[in-house]
Amino acid sequence: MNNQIKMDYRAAADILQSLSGVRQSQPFTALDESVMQCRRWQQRLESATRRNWPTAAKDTADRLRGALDILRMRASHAIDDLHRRSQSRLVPTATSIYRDLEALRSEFEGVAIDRAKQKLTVQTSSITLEDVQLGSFEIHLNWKYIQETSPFDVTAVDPHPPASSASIPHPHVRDDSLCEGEGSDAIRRALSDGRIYDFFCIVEQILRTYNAGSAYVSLSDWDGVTCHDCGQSVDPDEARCCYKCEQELCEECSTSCCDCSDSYCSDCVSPCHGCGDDCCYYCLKSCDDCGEKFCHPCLNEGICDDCTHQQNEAKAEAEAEQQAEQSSAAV
Amino acid sequence: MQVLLISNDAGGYAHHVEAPDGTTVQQMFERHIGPYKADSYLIRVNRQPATADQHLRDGDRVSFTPLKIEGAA
Repeated sequence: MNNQIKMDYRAAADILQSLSGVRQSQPFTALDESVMQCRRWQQRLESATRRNWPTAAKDTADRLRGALDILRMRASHAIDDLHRRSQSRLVPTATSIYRDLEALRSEFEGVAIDRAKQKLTVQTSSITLEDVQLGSFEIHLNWKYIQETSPFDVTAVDPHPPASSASIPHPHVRDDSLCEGEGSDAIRRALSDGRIYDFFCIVEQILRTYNAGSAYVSLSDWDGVTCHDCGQSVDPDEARCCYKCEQELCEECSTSCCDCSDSYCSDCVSPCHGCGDDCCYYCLKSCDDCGEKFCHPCLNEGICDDCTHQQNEAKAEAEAEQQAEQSSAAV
Repeated sequence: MQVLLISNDAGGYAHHVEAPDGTTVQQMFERHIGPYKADSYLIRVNRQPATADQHLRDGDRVSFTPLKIEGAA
């Protein structure tokens, strides 16, 4: 026990030393980053709209909405920070950091300190979001880099990633990096104040919160997307999308229009009355004569083959009758 | 009495505040965090779990961390 106290206190002293050169939080830097992020998503949205890619446009619009929310939040933080600049900042001490380390041992499942690698690791208890069991996570603070933008990693102890990507163990973690979202400024502030205990508490709460509007993979797709026609689970990267109703489909249930070749679900195609091939709502046209639906190749100047044939027969009969009358009159 | 008040909400802050003797955790929450539900926050006094009716003492460290903090992608 005494050894642990000594180890913890030495680690606390090391962390304090790393903190001594930490920059003060710069809310306007974060604000600039958010503005640039919004501009990037706006440009992509304009591009997707211009190219008439409705699915890409919808996804980009969702991302832009998320980025604008973060911009609004950061603007609010910047205003709050300006109000608080007149107040004195918290000055960390080795004792306060030591007490943080002590408290972490009660708050989390496991705490490990590696002074050689200058790394402090805590393990959360198991995390379940919307009935999807993600397991427990380790949060690694690399205190050597505590002055950097993101001095910590998040790894899954027993990963349960989605079908589409092994590098996403959590909706907001990719390649061991947590996208902090609305916790970003609080994390920066906690680290710059040397409030190590608070830092880990904030990160844990981000891991325990699901933001459906901005996830690397949504929890509804965690075990694959559901085909609209057959109900089978499909890898999201292999799923097709109906061009008309935008429902997701497996490869087998996806049908190509015989005219435009776009992909559709079974509800959005109908067979051509002439050739029987599947044709989409946009490409099927009515015969001007009989009113049945046909694909483009089966219509000739708006008339189907059968009606054209009937018209020709009727015309031929009429001509034959006319000739017969003329012959009778001559006689 | 003087208490170290820490909020890990929004941009986060930590500073000392004056409070009347006998102030409870609940009163501190309502005065400084606002009209939100206290059970939506992780509340710690001196880094230990605390009850809403716990009386604060001079030099205490009180922290409020939202349970719901949304990450992103």
